[in-house]
Amino acid sequence: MNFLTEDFERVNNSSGLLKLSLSESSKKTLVIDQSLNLDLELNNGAELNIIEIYKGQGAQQAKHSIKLAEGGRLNYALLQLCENDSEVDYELNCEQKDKSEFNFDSFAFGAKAFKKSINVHLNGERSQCDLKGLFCADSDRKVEEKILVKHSVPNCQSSQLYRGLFQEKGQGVFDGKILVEHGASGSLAFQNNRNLVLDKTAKIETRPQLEIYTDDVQCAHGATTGQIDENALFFLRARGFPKGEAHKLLVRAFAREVIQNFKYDECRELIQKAIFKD
Amino acid sequence: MLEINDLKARVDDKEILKGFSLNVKPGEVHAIMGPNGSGKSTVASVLSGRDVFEVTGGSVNFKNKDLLELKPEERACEGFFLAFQYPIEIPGVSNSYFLKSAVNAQRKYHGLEEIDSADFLTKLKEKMALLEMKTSFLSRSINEGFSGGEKKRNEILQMLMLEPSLAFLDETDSGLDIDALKVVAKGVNALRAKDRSIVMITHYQRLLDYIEPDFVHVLSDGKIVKSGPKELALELEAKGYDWIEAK
Repeated sequence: MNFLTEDFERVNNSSGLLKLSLSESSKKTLVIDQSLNLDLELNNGAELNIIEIYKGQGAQQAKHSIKLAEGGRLNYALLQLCENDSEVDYELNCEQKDKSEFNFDSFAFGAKAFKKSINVHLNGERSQCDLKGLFCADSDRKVEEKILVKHSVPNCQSSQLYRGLFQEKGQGVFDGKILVEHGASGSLAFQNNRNLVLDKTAKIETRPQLEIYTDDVQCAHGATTGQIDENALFFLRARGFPKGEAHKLLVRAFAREVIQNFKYDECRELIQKAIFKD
Repeated sequence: MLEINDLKARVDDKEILKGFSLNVKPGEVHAIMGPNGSGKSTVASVLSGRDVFEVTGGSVNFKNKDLLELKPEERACEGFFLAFQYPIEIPGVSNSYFLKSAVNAQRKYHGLEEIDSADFLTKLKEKMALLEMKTSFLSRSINEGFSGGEKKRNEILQMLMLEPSLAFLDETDSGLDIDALKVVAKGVNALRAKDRSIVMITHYQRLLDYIEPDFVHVLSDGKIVKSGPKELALELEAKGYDWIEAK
């Protein structure tokens, strides 16, 4: 499957709002390459793939509202590949019922300012969400990742895996929260944010948060920020890699840790092109 | 091959090598033994070009070049190989990609074309079979989640693929059980040749049962205090390092 060449349904919508309700057990793939708001409902067992690509210039904003009914499954890839003068405000709210599944792969690089807020409400038993993201900034650009995953009922699973990459006065914020409410026993929640800062002019602020109001849960979270590992760099040089190439290899490896698990190969290719120019 | 004369090196204000000399001819296998803190690993680090150490005196000639003037990658491309005591993990870089890129980086240095993929794979599989490594290893990230034994085996695999003129093994035997030690020794012995040299740093005589050295040296307080044939290792094992240091 290749969403870049194959004829998937491309959304062309001038009203700025797309309302879609997917009936039971139906399956659909949508490619969105314009700025609009989504109002989605996936009914029992429906499956939807969305690839949303932000390009272009100027101020853009999106506010998406998504409801996944029992057994609904949404695979979502968001690529932000904007021009340097653009400012994007992005918000996605997703409510999940029993046994529904939300997989979200995101990549952010390019806009002058990109603010993203993802709110997932696990409000049906055995629902699960898997959020992954690579966010990068350089040349005075700023990117903010705000995530809230709320566990309200028992036996749900959530995972957040985010990698940030910063250099040349790029700035980043990671503000990720897991909230396990009273009564949400048997919750499994995981959050991990690692950031690589390639020089002293770049900045990242990371705020991993965990709030738990019930017993019998398994939660883990962690965040690290660091530079290129000098030991790894030396190891590669000691095997014959010139310093510059060894450095490049390590930066790519860092990014690959998250994007290798992205659903679409084409997304990986677009990302490689955007950040590594190849 | 390698002539080290009166090498002195320090880290911060602490002098660690205090006049280390060693002469390794082509085809020879040398073992350097010595107590903890005698400077064994410092020798390996300094020779490989680690910049945490400052060389304050002496000279190192490697294949008629001043080794100390070369960058770490140039040393590697000239045929110097260090098997690391603590192999590094690099998530996100697969072993096969890394090995091929390393081979090609060294070929490029010598003005050669990239290695043919099929030839590379044939050779790699042959070396992996020798080291009793599973093919699933190829798609895994460098040393990520590997056991201590697997990491050491991986160092030896890199050595076999890069075919250095001089291999410096820094405590490659530490942390290995007897079966893994035999496999690693088999790999090292496969590299032995008239025009290649091996220097092993070790705490234990046990390794030398499997990789027989031509010479054994005892390092103490930053310099070699005794050299002899392989029997010296047995004597050390029986009498301990105090026997040397007391003299």
